[in-house]
Amino acid sequence: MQKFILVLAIIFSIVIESALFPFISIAGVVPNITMILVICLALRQNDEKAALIGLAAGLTKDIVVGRIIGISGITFMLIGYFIGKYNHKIFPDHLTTPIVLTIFGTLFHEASYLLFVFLLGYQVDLILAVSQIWIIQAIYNFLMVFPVYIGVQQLYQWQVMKKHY
Amino acid sequence: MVNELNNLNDKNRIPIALTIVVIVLIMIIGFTAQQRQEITVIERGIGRFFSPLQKGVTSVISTIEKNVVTLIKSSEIKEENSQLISENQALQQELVDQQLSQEELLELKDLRETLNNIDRTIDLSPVTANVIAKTPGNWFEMFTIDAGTENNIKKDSVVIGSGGLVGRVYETGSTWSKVISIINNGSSVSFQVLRDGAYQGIVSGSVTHELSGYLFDPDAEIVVGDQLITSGIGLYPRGILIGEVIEVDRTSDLLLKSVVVEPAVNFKRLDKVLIINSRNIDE
Repeated sequence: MQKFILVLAIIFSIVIESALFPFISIAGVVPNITMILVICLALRQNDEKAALIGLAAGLTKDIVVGRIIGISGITFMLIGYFIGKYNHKIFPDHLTTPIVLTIFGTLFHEASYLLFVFLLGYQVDLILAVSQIWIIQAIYNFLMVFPVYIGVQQLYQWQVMKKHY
Repeated sequence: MVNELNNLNDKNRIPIALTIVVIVLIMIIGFTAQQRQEITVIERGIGRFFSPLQKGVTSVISTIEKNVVTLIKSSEIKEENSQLISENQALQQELVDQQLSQEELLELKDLRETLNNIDRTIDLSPVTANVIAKTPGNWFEMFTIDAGTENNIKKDSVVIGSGGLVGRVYETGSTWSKVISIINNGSSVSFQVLRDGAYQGIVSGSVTHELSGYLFDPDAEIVVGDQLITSGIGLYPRGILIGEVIEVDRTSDLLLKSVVVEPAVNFKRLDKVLIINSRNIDE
C-alpha cells in the first residue's frame, strides 16, 4: 500500500510538472517538483529505497517528457541515495533541510545535465546556463519546496504510510 | 563469484548496485541521444498511460485560463470583434480574386500533367492535435501532443501552429507524439525570402531558443521585416511561414549575411497544432 501511494505521488508530480507548470513558467523555466518530491521522500527512507524512488521517478520523467532517456534517472537516483544514506545525520523534520538540499540538488542536476548534453555534442553556453537558467531554476525550485514538503508531510500522516513492511 | 557477491556485506552491496545502474543508464543515454527509428514497448506503454492524464490536466487549465481571460478582456474582445468583421469583409473580396487566379493555376497544372511533368503531391490531410505537455528541462524545446500512430502520424511529420511552422514529430506512440520545435538547439530549416524567392538560406535554433541563420547569397537584399518561408529543400514542404527578420548582420568574415528571426508562432502559448505528412517520409 505504501509503495502504491509512493507510485501515485510520483505519477502525480510528473503529470503536474509537464502539463500544469508550463502555464506558470518564468522565463521558460519550469520548477522541477519531481526532484523536490524525491528529496522530500528520501528524507524519510533508507538509502536503498531512496535510491530506488529516485531512479523510478527520474527514469519515468525522462521517458514521459524527455528527449534523452537516463539523465534524470542518474541524477535523481544519486540525490535519493545520498540523502537516504545521511538523513539520520541531518534534521529531516526541519523545513530548512529540504530547502538547502533542493538548492544543492538543483545545481547538481543542472550541472550533470549540462555535462551530458555537452558530451553528447550539443552546443552549450556555460555563462548563460549559470547566469540565467540555474539561478531562476534554483529560486523557482526553492519556492516549490514548501507545497511539496507539506504535501509529503500530510501523506506520511495517513495510517497506511506509518506501517512498515 | 555468486558466493563472493553474497559475502559482500550490506555496506558494499548498494554502492555496487548503484554503480552498475549508473553504467547501464549512461549506455541508455548514449543509445537514446540520437533520434531512433522506433521507440521501445516500455516507452509506448508509459506514454500511453501518461498522455490521457496530461491531456485532462491541460484541458482543465486551458479552459479555466480562456474563461478568465475572456472575462477580464471582454471590452477588448468586443473591439477586436468589430475589427475582425471589417477585416473579414475585405478578405472575402480578396478571396474572390484569389479564386480566379486559382482557376488559372489549375488550368496550368492540368496542362503540366498532360505534358507528363507531374509534380509529386503532398498528402494534405492534416490532423489537428492539442499540446498536452511540455518538456520541463531547459535544454530542449519539445512538447507532447495528443495524436499518434492511430491518427496516422509518422516520425518526421511536419507540425504547423497558428500562423507558422512549429517543428517536426520526433517520436510517436499510439495516442501521443513528441514534437521537436524549430527553435530547439540543433534544429535547422532552409528558408527563402517571401518577397523574393531567389534569396535562400538556413535558420537554426539555439540554446537560448532563438532562431538565427544566414543567407547563401552574400549580396542578397534582405531587410528587417522581411518574412521568411520554408523553401522546400529538406523535410519541410515549401511555403510555410517561419517568421520575420528582426536583425540583419554581416558576419565578421564579410562573406555571409546573417539574420535573427522572430518565429511566427508563439512557442510559449501553443495549444493547438496541425500535423501534415511531409512528402519525404515514405521514401
